[in-house]
Amino acid sequence: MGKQFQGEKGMAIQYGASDGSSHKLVANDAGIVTAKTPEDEERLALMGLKAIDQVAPKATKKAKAAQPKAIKSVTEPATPAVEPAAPASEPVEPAPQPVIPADKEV
Amino acid sequence: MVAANRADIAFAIQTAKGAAASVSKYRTFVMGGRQPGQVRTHAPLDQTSGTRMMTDMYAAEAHVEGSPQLYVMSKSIGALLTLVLGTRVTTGASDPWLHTITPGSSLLYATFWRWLADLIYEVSVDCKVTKIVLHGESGKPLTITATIQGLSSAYKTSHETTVTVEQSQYFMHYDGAAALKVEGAAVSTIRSFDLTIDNNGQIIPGDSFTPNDIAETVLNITLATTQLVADAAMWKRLHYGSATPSDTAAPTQTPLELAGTPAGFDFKWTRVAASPGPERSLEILLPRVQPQPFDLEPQTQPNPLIQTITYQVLQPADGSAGITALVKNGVADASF
Repeated sequence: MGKQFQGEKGMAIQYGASDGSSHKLVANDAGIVTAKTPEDEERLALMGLKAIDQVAPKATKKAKAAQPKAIKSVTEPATPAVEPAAPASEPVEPAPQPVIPADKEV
Repeated sequence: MVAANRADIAFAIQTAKGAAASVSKYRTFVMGGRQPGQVRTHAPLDQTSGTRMMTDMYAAEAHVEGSPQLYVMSKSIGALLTLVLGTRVTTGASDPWLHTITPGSSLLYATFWRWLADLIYEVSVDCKVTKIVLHGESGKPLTITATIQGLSSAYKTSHETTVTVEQSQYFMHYDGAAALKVEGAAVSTIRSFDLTIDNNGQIIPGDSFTPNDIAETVLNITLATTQLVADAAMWKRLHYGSATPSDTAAPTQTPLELAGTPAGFDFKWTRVAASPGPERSLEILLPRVQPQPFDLEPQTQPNPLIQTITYQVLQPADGSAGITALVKNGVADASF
């Protein structure tokens, strides 16, 4: 998957690529535009769209499962989210600690 | 038999070079100019002969050229500006859609069809709109002259009529009333203007009878405005660096750059306002411009002082777009 950029729902981008083709990118329902080529990335950045930090491609299912908790803890600071924050800052490592039941950890 | 004065052009943006569009998406009548079609070069065989006469000619090459003049209408203007600038971002959930058009590194290819009085049908493939001149003057519709350069044409035996001819919502100069802004302030005395966007297209030859490609080179954008001379502030700023230079002020060594909020030029024409809607508008933003040197000259005609100033559009230092065209029309992305 290519780099993702934050656009808006319904946004469509068309530009003339250096290989002579017309590149067309359409945002998904969340407004995210995914670049397909390095030239797409360059063009989207030039347009001022902000890149979204991506989930590491090698992240395990467990790590991915832990991610929503981490996001929730960031977006909703009112909840006691201090504990699961660690996997969010280090998504590359498959570190299973946050999702392993506490009784098996010792 | 007299051939009636009937003609149109149609076009569609291609997905890639060499991938001709199968049907048109835009079609308009023409005011004048040359329809896009084959242009060919024949040259003599330069050699001696037994009689001093030229022995023969050869066909050197054939390519596509055209420079049709069209009225500015809400649908086609969005496509033409996209073709001459290269990048389009469309937003909106329903009519009107907003197309934000800015310069790109490469232009898009398009297929153009030509129809002339049931006499000539032609399709031209791998074309680029390398230049446009957007013109407006008091009391008249806005016009656009599009310079088209392309690789190859083919003869057709029928008229391309997939899409209906666009013949409504003609933008008028007065659709820009109180919205032709210079340095953020509306200038009501602007009686005419010419916005020229020129990619300096070059036909690139190769090993074939038709060219290998059309290359866009330096993008040069200028805006010329003609208006009453209300004051000499611009002249003073250009020559002496201040709208109110001091006595014995020396010539400035700094080119004048327009400021304001928004900076430079912001021209907007609204054919259909948001209410009753759906909105049909065209806005051109030129944030970084410098007037080219000009003088104010008295006239012998019984006219007030009139000045025409040509402004050079420059790349903003922050890398943002040097020109942005905002088109609101009823064309969704899927139909673009």
